[in-house]
Amino acid sequence: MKAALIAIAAFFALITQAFAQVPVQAIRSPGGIDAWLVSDSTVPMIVLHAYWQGGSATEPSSNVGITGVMTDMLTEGAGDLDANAFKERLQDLNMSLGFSSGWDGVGMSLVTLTENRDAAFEMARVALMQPRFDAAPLERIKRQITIGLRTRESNAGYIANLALDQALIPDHPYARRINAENVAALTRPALLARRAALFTRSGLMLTIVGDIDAETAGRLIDSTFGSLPLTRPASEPPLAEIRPATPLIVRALPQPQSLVLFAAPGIQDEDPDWTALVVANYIIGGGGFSSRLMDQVREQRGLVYGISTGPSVRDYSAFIRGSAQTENGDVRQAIEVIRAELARFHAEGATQAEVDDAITYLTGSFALDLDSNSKIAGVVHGYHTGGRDIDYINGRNDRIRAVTRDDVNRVARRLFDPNAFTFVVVGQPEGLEPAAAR
Amino acid sequence: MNPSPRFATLVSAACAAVLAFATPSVAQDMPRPETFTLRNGMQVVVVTDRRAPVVTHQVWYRVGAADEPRGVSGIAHFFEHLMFKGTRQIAPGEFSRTIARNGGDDNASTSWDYTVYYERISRDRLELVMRMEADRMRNLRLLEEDIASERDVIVEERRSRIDNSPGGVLSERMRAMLYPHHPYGTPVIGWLHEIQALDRAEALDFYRVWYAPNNAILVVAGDIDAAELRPLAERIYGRLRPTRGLPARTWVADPPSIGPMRVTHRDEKVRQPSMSRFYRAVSYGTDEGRQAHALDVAMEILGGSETSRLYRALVEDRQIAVSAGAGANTGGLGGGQASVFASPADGVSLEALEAGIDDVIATFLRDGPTDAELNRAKSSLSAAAIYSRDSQEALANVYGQSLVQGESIDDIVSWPTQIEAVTREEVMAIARETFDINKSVTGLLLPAEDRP
Repeated sequence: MKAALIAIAAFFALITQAFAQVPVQAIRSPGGIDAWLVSDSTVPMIVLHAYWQGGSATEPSSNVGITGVMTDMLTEGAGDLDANAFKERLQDLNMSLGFSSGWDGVGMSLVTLTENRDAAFEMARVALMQPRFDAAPLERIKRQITIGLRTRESNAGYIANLALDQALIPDHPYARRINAENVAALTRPALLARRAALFTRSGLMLTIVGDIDAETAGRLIDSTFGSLPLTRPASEPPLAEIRPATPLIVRALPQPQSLVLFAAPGIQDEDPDWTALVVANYIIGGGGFSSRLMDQVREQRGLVYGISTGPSVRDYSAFIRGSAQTENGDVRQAIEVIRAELARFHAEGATQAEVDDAITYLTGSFALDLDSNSKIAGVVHGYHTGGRDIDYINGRNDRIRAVTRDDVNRVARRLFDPNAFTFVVVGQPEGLEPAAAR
Repeated sequence: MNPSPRFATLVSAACAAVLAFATPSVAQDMPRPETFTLRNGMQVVVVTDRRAPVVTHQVWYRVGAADEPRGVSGIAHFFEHLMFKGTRQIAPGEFSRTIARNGGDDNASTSWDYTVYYERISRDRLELVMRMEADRMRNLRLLEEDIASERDVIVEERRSRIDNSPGGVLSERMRAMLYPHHPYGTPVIGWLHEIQALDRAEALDFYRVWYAPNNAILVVAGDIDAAELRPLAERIYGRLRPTRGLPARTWVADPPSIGPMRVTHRDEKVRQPSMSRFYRAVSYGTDEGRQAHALDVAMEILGGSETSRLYRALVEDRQIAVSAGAGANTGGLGGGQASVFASPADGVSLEALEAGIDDVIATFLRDGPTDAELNRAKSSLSAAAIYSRDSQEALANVYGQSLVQGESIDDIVSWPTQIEAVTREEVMAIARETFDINKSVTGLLLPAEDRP
């Protein structure tokens, strides 16, 4: 054993070499639209991500769910092309074009081969500027949503997350879900209004990665996004007011294994403790097979297949969330072990060795997130839309290395108090009494 | 937030998708990897990509759930978990911790045809990874106490993946009917009552027979080439003893089908009914000529996207379904599988929906694809090959999995060209052979009680 350990130790000194710098450039199109660009011609493809602030959380309460339907409908026909013709054209160009909506913003992703570049960007422009919102695809999507309303009733993840949101942030738009009345209110005029309210040039954030230079990117940015209006998006939702923890919420669902979710108030990623939280989370539940919870709940006791925790940040709320699944008869024990581990972390913090290991992993593994155009585009765009500086990506490992054991222990005391966590169990857990409903 | 699975693709439903990566109308070959074989019989494949100082390291064993003795279902997968326990040099659990401490990720996966262990790590840690992987290939130590808790873990894994999901339970039974005797009918994770009885002796028997350099393929992709890898591979893996008289992998054949099979599963968790149908099919490992290529093209036309026949006819035109599609798993060493599925619109019975599916298939078998459909399907399948080149991990998977499932490097490199060459006649021939209701299993998933 000794020989192996010495040999393994010898590798540690070299690990900082693993991370190559990512050359992110800030460019401005001739028409004045800003973007972040990473040029790399190794593979003849281009990835474009666009993001507009204003998502489902800014929907009027009469139109809950409309943002997601509106973005889905953008690839259901545009310009001269009906839904079928539009999708066939995407296939003929071997491109993918998708729009998405989140609580805080809407996005567009375009992936194209270099050879079809101009035609692909033109498809994006038409989808964005001239959507048809035809009756037939809208009715089809409404039918599909209606079925979705029913199937979610037996989806453990849906039930658990809704219960958490309703317990912790009941008055915030984040706790809303689309319902049958909302589906009925989905009309073409409402979709058009929603599109007009969200897609503006102010607040548009663009990230382009791949086989393209700055000049070509500038030209295509202008042709694709240049005719959007400059107006600011309208209203913003309030900050979520987080209610005190409910120790235990139980929802019945007939299945052999229960889903356990747990959540406590977290911090925004601008918080000075953010990087220390990344390290702390790795130690308690974010480190795959190496975390304390994985060791105690899976390796030592065989109670779960997987368990993990992570910060969950939206523009108007922040949580630490965790999840696990275990046999109905073992739920009580699993929760006891999780609570005990949180309590130990809260009271004692981490060891220096744990902090060192976490930093070595988090800095060394970062290169694994940056070994393809698609991954680089995802990471860079995430930093862009998160309001980071353009060189944030290249300073990231230095910030992680600067985290001390004191920092981690401070974060453990601040954010991992077991009494701050709400536990939600969905399944048929044995011997668990939920606290009185609030 | 997701639990980190010990392995990402337990069941190789992803097989077809992994190989379904290739070029548009101008067919472009896949990059040709370098390859060599060590003296002890271990095959080595190197796929160079210098963009990031990172490597993907994979060891593919030619053994999986299809090689399990009767009554010991799940042992291949259980053993995959046990490989993370320990050796004389590495304490139990230390394998993954050491990889993580060195900034890497590791995991493993079991299918019917193979078991694969993989690490992704900075290139300057490659030797460390190779030494640990070589060490556990022949020197694993299994303690009795490691067995019990890990067996509990895979029982929980089974519940997560299958028993919690009515659709998962139904699919498992449909496979068991489609392959009444062949081991592909046994779930990779194993039947619950057999998993609960797995023990150390069975695990060690499995290990001693199959885990050997001459039964493994090493794939390394990323910031390295064969000239750099070869001396390392010879020094580290090359010194391992091969297994003499490695048994041939012999699987039984199924008796001929005696007609259409059906199974209904009701569960109180089901809120929306659905139907699916499985057909036995060719695979790249069993076909003659371009049959598997033609089947992939046929399934793409029939149900691979929202422009496909099934989606258009059932969801858009007739509006009797809210979802519909089809796909093929053409990767199996012992044959493939084609499947179709749909879920009804409100007020539509599963019988009417099934009749609708049969109509679409009958029309396709009668008229075949249009030129536009044929070209679009080939182009879609193909374009993904270029996109797959963006990811060293995806390329490593394509080469490792295809080689372990009976294909050659040439087969993989020329795959886009072969897809491009598929003719209308080939598509119709394989569709007629595959869509035989007498060789199929139809599964209906229903709520516990019919709603009014």
